[in-house]
Amino acid sequence: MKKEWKSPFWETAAKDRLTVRLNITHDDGSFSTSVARVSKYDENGKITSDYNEVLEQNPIESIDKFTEERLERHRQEREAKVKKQQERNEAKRLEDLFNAKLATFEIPEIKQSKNRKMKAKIRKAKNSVEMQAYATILLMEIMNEQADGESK
Amino acid sequence: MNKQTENPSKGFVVVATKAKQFLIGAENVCQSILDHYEDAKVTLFCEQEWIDDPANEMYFVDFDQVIGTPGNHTREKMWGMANSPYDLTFYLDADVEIAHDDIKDSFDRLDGHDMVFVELKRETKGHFAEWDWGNGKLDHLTHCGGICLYDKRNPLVVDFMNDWYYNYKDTLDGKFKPKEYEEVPDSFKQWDQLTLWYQLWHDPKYKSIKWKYFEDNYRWNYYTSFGFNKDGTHNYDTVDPVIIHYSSWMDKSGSKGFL
Repeated sequence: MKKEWKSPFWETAAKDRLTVRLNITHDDGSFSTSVARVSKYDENGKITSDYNEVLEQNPIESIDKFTEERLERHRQEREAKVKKQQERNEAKRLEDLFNAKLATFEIPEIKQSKNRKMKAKIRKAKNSVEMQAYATILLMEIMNEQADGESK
Repeated sequence: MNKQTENPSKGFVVVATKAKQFLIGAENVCQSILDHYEDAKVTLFCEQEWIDDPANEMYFVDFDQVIGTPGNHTREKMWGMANSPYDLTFYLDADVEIAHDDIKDSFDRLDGHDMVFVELKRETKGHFAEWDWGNGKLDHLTHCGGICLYDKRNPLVVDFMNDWYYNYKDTLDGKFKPKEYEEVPDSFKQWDQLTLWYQLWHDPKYKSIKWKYFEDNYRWNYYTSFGFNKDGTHNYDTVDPVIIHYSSWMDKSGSKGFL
């Protein structure tokens, strides 16, 4: 039976426990692989044979390096995931804002308004508060014009 | 060179069929163009039934022309492109919005070419429902069909749009199957970009067409799914997009929301 300990990395900052892939080629030629957890010490405080075997095949410097690279890779993946989610959220917010603007332009008084400048401001609004503020201003203007017209 | 050639007419084309939200979207496209380019001419192609309905008149106010399409197929857009009233035409999907004054100079981007497109790049493949079917250089949907800048003074360009219209419909019906389609999975045949891909890369009739991609590619069709960063920047080498495409969250069947 041949045991190969591959890609070990420290599980703890104290460097007393490893996670490692264990490949075994059995005497009958069959092959098996598994992920193993290897402790440095047994219950009596003695260094385990598995731990010694891992270190024979993998110098401690390479374990340190692999551990650091793995942590860095995970950190980058986490950051990428967070960034992607933020982008999705922002895209969704803008899509919702876009729909809300189109709904605003469907208000009959706004649709019929010739005030292109204010309509452009509604279209270019960066958020729903800004959009609603401009829509309200435009509606107020329209209502004031209507009131003026009626009083004349 | 005649006078028409020396002073080509310029305008935008938007097409809306199938669902009312596209009419609402098309009006917004038109007004967003006018926000940045006051003298722009924009023609709407939509279902004749909608034109005949007086309730829709309010949507047509800002358009230069409103022209009925022969049918209500999803891709009447190609018919509209072929029948544009302008020599130099910028076709835009009805779910885009103009966001930058550079739209005023868009026709200069033709720069002696017959057509200008946005390239669908490999780095953005994750944003599309389907993109590639192999590892070859052309084994993917290469051109975005959502916008197209073109010069109709070359009669071959009009033929191109008409063929795109018919070839796409025939592809859907299983009647159009050039040998280049043999390696392409059936699911890709639902996209009009596949017909566009065939005509641009493989159709011998259109070998002489001069086409290119926009140099500042995704500025001219920036999908909302590409992301908007907190610091105001954009992704995929895009600075200050001219056209924002709101397609990714749009409810095209109209059953979920306003659009």
